Amino acid sequence: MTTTPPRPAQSPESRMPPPALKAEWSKTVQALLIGTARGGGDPADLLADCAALGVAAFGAALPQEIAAEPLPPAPPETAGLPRPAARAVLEAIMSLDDEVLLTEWCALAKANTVVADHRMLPSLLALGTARPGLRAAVVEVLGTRGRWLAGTRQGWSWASGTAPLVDEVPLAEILDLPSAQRVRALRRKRRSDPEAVNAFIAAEFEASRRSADRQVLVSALETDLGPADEALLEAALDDRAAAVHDEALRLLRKLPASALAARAADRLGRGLQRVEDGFEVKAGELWSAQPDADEQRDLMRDGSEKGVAGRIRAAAASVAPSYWTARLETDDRGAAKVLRKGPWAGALLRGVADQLAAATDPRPWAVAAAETLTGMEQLEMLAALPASVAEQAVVAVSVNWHYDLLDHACAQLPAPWSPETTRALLHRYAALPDPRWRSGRPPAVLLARGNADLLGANWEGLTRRWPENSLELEVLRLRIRLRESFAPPADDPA
Amino acid sequence: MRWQGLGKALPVLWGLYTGSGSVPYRVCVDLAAGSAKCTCPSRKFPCKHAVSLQELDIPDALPPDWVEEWTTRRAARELDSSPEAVARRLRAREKTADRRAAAMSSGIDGLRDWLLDVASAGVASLPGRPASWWQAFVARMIDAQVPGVAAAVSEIQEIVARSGPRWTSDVADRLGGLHLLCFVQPRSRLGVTVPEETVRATPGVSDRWVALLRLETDDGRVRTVRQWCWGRQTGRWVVAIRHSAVGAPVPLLPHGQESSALVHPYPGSDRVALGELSGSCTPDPVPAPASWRSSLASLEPMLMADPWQRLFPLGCAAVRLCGTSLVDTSGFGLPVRDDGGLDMALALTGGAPFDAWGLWDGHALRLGAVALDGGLEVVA
Repeated sequence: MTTTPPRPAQSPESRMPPPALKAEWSKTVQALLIGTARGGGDPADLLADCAALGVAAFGAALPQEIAAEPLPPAPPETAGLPRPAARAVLEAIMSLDDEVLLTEWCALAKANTVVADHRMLPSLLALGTARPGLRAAVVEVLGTRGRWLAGTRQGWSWASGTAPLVDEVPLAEILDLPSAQRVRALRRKRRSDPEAVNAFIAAEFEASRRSADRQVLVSALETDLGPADEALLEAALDDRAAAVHDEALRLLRKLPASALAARAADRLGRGLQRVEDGFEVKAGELWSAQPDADEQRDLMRDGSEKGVAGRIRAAAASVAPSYWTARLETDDRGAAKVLRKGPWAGALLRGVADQLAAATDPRPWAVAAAETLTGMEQLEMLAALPASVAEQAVVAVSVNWHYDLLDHACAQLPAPWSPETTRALLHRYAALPDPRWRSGRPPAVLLARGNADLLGANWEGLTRRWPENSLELEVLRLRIRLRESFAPPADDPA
Repeated sequence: MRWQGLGKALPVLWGLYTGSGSVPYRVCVDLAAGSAKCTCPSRKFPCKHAVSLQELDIPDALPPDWVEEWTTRRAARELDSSPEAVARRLRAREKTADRRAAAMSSGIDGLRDWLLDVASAGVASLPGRPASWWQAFVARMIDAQVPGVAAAVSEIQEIVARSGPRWTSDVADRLGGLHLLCFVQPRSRLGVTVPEETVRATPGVSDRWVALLRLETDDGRVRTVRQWCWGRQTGRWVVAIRHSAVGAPVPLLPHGQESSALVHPYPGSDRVALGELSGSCTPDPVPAPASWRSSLASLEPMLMADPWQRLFPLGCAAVRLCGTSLVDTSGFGLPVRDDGGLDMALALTGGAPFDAWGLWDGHALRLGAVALDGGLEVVA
């Protein structure tokens, strides 16, 4: 080894005052950046300088005086913190990454007026940021500390309640957004400032030349739909574009006591007559001829409402089930019994299926409609129902279903199910043969969404019917633990 | 079934495997010695038969003659302590050591030339270098049996690729470090490994170690977890390292706990091997320096002992977040990484002053643990 050894770390340079050292180090770095071939000098000396000054610069780093204000402290927490058992369950849920269970935990915590442990807050906020669907549940358990913490990051502002992330787009620029975002942004704004947005929609609908824009404007009315929107929707029925017309018609059919409903009721009165066996088309009347312009206006232009059956279905889809109970002077069960008979039963029940949400008791209608609808149509019908009646409707119509259809319908039902629904669906599942690919494994949706207390009480039967010790059972165990962790402490035995 | 005559008398397993040869292969594995013998013509060791034998469910049995013979021969070979055998082994060891020294010396020469080339051409040329240029030199260093140098060069490549406002000074610092390495040549920095057993045979340091800081890295092949542990009685920091090729490595000491343990330091580094772990408990309060200035000043002996080290444990009492810095009571602060550790610290402390411990890389602090009202909490 003949080369010159580098200067030791404790070289005179390293004892220089920091500004001089900094300048020297900066000069050396610049020289190395250019290289000795162009900048001149000996490369070995330059490297030796780097060796000595690099260590010195690292070791001479000093803290800087900071002028910024300290982060204001979090306000005191008003809600209680969960018990250790509930805390442990939340940790297990987070590691399992199960959204339904997390929502259940949040609901139970809210009911017990406790908030998540401080240690869980960053994970919950990160989860809510990544999955907007969970935000409503997560916000409830953040507490004062969580909302304060959310204020420290721009990305978490959805939880702090200070600056909504997406509402920054001015109303005038909303139509410049990509198509899916336009509808969402308009609906959000309509919820917060209905008058301004209604005026904007009305003005833009008149002025807009692109049908896609007009369709977006009509579609935005679905949020907080009310009688005040009827005039615009009626005007949209005269639109040249089929998509705009169909969207307006879809929304109009959701409005009870609309002019459309009155027109449809009139057509049903004129076109159908009650016979011994259900309803029959009146000869020489409305539906024995081609539709006139007025009727054409109230039919979907997507091709689904053509022919006599299509026109009957359109009229039935435009009136609430109460029309039938009033006309037949009976209850829902009696009316459904009549409508399921006759040559036009399919068309009528398909129409009624679209209006099921407005029925006093949708179950008989759902059972009757299920006879004529395809599996996918049944799922769509059930999806449109409010959660409380959807459960009963699924139980009522699923008697002869196969496993996949039942599984899909159950997946549509929001958690948690009532004990009655859980019991009924448990029996349905148990009676059906398992698909080969999940033989011996319990239905995931049943164990994740069914009533945990009831499922826990049926543990033995469950494990006998589905003997595989699978992840689904693990989820159920966790759900039972979750219930227990929030249950009031048992009284000490005397 | 191609396996016959399977049996085990732990730690030895054996079996006959009907392969493509006319006679079944005799396969024998000694689990305790990690050794295997098979009569197949494979040049791989251990061969596939020896590997698959370990996967079988084998009944207990009396070893047949050929197994007895093999184990006896192995035992006899291990016990061969004749002066000739000892001298032969010594000569072999010396030869291996000489070969390695020659390879390392040529590697260091290569490193010296490479550094001079880089300093001559200027580091401004580095971003334009293709990956193959870096890989060729890294491979040369690995062939020269100096993996520590190879890792340091890969780190320089990473800094160059990452770019950023300070990459030139960082690269200059690392190149200077390598230049220094060419002269000092500490074996730990060159990557000469020391068997754990050898380290354990050296005198250990017994203390109550608080595993405060942790850093997990993944180089694509091996995952590594490093723990910085503070000794309550000795007041020194040691680093415990665990590697894993499959799954996450388990930290050497229970993280966030105070463990009474005997540890053995590796020569020339802060790294330790675990000797004996007596027990762990929730840590008592850990005293933190009153200001960042005194905390940084306390790094001097560590930096003097290992001038290549660029990641140090650092702590300070009663700090608050001001902008992007953690500021001590005197109003001076160090930049802090805006990561999950900081989020957790804020969630736990609610903006109140807290004692902070983190890893300092010269630019920013990676927050790892905080203490509020005496209670220690690991945040990363």
